[in-house]
Amino acid sequence: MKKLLIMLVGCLVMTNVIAQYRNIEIQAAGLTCSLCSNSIQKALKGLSFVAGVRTELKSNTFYIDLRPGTTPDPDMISRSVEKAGFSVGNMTMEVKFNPVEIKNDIHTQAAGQVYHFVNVKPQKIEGWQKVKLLDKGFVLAAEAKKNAKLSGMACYKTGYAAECCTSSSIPKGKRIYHVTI
Amino acid sequence: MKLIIFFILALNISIVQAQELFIHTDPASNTPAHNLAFRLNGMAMPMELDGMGMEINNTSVRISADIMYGISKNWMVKVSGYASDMFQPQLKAEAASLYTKYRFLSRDDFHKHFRMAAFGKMAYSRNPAQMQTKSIHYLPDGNGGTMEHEETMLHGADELNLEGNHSGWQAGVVATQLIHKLALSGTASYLGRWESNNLDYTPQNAQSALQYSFSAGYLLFPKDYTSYDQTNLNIYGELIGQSTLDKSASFLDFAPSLQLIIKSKARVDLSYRFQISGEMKRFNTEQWLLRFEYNWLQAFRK
Repeated sequence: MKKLLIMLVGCLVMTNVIAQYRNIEIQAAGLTCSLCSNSIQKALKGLSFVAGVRTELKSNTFYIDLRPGTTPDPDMISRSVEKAGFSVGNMTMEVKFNPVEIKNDIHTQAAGQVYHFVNVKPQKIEGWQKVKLLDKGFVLAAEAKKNAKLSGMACYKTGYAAECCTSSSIPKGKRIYHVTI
Repeated sequence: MKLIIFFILALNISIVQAQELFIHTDPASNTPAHNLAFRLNGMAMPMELDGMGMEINNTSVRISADIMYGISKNWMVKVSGYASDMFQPQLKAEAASLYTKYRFLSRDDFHKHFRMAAFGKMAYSRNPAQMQTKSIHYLPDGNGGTMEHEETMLHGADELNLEGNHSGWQAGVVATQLIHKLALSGTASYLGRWESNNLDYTPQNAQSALQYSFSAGYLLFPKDYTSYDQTNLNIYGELIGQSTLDKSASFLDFAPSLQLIIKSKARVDLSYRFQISGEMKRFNTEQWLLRFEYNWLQAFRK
């Protein structure tokens, strides 16, 4: 019993240490019926990094619980919703940042991904920070069009590092998520 | 009696599918990718055929099963099989059809969308082109008495029906607008008749037609969603019309329907379709429909 407790506590501590993502929240667009919503829920549950999905049916909001030790793939989330016949209209997640200075229209590496912050004031962020994804596939089509004006760089259109953004640490073709806080 | 059999058959096998979920038409939305759905449809069709000045009243029964699958987010297929006692006294397997739909436009917004899709259908039916009815009447026997005489009548139809009656093909487009609890949808399609064999060739009947429909659906209950287990009640009104191209004939049907969505997986439809105007020659102008549908979401994924 004692061993089990120690193991459990150990697991919890470990997860806390390695978790870099939490509280993924998406709002699906294009549906009103519960059957449609159920098809999205089932599709999300099929993703390898998803432990569970909670739903607020009224607003078609899905809260994704992550499997410990996994890194979520926002693109796969978006594709799942599309395969169910709908689209993601809004998506936010909490990312754990090491202390970092962020600036508008500048790339920041954190938690294994490259984030391109737009529409932000220069500031220092640290710890859990809720970010909203702005790329096509995470916002309504009309909003994606509007968001394209937020950055002058080519990576917004494709979502991947182009000449504009490559550096020693960001290879060409690396996925870049455009976010705001 | 036939009705009872049809209800028992329909109830025996559990179910059916889902989206804007119209009863007599299909919305522009598809069945979700990897979703497998099964449908069982039971139809009762009161028929009034003119037999030598006598009305022949009969209620035909048709049972059909559909299997639907979402190949990708934009593309779905449906295979259907039909059986009826419309053309002979016993229930007989009569037809099969293949339907496919491709969604080519999607404008999603929170709680609404506008979508368009193209669809096509091929149907094979082994039913004869003409329906045979027999009526018995009495003729003078020449000795001052009467004798029984059986008269065989043939009835053709200009209406093109790919739901079991005829072999043929269909191609068309559908546009659907969903706004909160209201869904509106319109379709327009071309229908062509295929002759299964020379005996069935019926130059006197229409060979091609335009079909059009307008459907409206409204979610009555629940007022607010709180759980997938809530039963939804939807109400529908659909107008379905056809105009033959090689003959001048048209009809317009109206079909009010009720629908239950159970546990966000299964669906039950009840509908009554009837002709509100038209002069086209048809086998039947009325139809009761009871449908069950069940969805296996993510059927072919672990």
